[in-house]
Amino acid sequence: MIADDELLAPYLAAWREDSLYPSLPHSRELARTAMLAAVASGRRGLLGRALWFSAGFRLRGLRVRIAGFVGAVAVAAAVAAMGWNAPAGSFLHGVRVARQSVQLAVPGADLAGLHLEFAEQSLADARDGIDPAASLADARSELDAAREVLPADHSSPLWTRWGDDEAILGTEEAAPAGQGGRPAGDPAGGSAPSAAAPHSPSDDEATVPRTAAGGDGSADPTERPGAAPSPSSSPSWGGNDGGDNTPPSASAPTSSPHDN
Amino acid sequence: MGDEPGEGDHIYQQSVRLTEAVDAARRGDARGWDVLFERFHADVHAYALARLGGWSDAEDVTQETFVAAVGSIRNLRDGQEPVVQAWLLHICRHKVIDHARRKGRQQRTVDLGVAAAPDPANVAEAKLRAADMREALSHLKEDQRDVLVRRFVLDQSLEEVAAGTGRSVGAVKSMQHRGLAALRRILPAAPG
Repeated sequence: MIADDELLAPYLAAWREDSLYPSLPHSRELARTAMLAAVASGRRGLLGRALWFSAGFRLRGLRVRIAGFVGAVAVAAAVAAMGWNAPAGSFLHGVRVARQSVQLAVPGADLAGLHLEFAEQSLADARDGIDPAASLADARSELDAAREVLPADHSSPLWTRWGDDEAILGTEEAAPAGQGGRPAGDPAGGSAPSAAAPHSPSDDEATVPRTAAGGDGSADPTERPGAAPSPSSSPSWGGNDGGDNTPPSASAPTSSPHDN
Repeated sequence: MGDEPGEGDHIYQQSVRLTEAVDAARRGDARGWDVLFERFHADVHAYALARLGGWSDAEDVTQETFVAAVGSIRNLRDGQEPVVQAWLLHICRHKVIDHARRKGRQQRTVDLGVAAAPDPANVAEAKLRAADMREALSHLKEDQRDVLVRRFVLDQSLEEVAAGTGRSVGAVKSMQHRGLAALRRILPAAPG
């Protein structure tokens, strides 16, 4: 039937004839040698399978290690994200402290500004009622640290900011226990401390280091009513031993900007 | 007369020998593999050459087929000749597909290196037709190609193709019919 097909018959015949050429003897022997080599290696299959299994096991071990590493990175990232602004007293507060330490360690960082920022965050936490005692202690620590690195120029806005924060902190500390947060109606900024605050604007004169001659130890800006001075609360440039509190800088202003 | 081995005896002896060879091959005996190679190398080579056209490609695929067979002899059901042939051609078919996939659709090449016939012009014309045929086959479905190679190159009957491919005779006949019809549409009319 196909032989009668005028179109297909010549093609099929040519195709068949072309395909039935015998293999070249050399190629044929190569194929036989390759096959027998495979047979020979198959007899050593037990060792080969053992090696294969071993390689597979190593691969699985590598996968486990990679998965473990990726998982650890993911957990670390999650912990860092959750603890980025964890308030004082919380389980992940250490992450926040570590993050702040890193920020402070960056060369060229604005240390005073950063300490003030951290203090303000803690004050905000306290106002929000998040473990007020711990948050206020945190804020106190940051404000003390900030004061040590404030610029000698008392006209710097950082001094103003520090004074405001001190005033807010004083207000919060004076609040009755259990009322860690500011009343809801109070503006969040707290830039106008209440008259009851120990660090009222009238007190600001005492909170700024005096540069005028004759200043005595009672002008120590770290002194707070009813608060014991902390070891770190003394100004970095002078003693609180009743001596001259003049900052080392010759250009130190003679009054705090709060005096204005 | 009774002492002379008849055709049936010869086939029986061959069958027994092949079955024993398969058993030996299963045990990893090189002599068993040698028997299988001698018996089926030509079929495998023809199948590969019919599908691929290039001599070197066909040699490569033939070699790959027998090497792969060593690793998969546990899949061989029994030592009957049609079964062994079907098993090897099945491996070869997959090797052909892999080979074609690796090389992509090759440019049409006509290997005239074995043209040793008296009339080189006729040989060249036959080669070109064979190349046209393979090019046309590349437009068919894989199953149709497989059936046509078995039927028209390896000269297998419809029943043999059905047994070798695991299909019914009717299905094989249908595939052949559709494959040939497609070839008629694709192939150019032969000159004169």
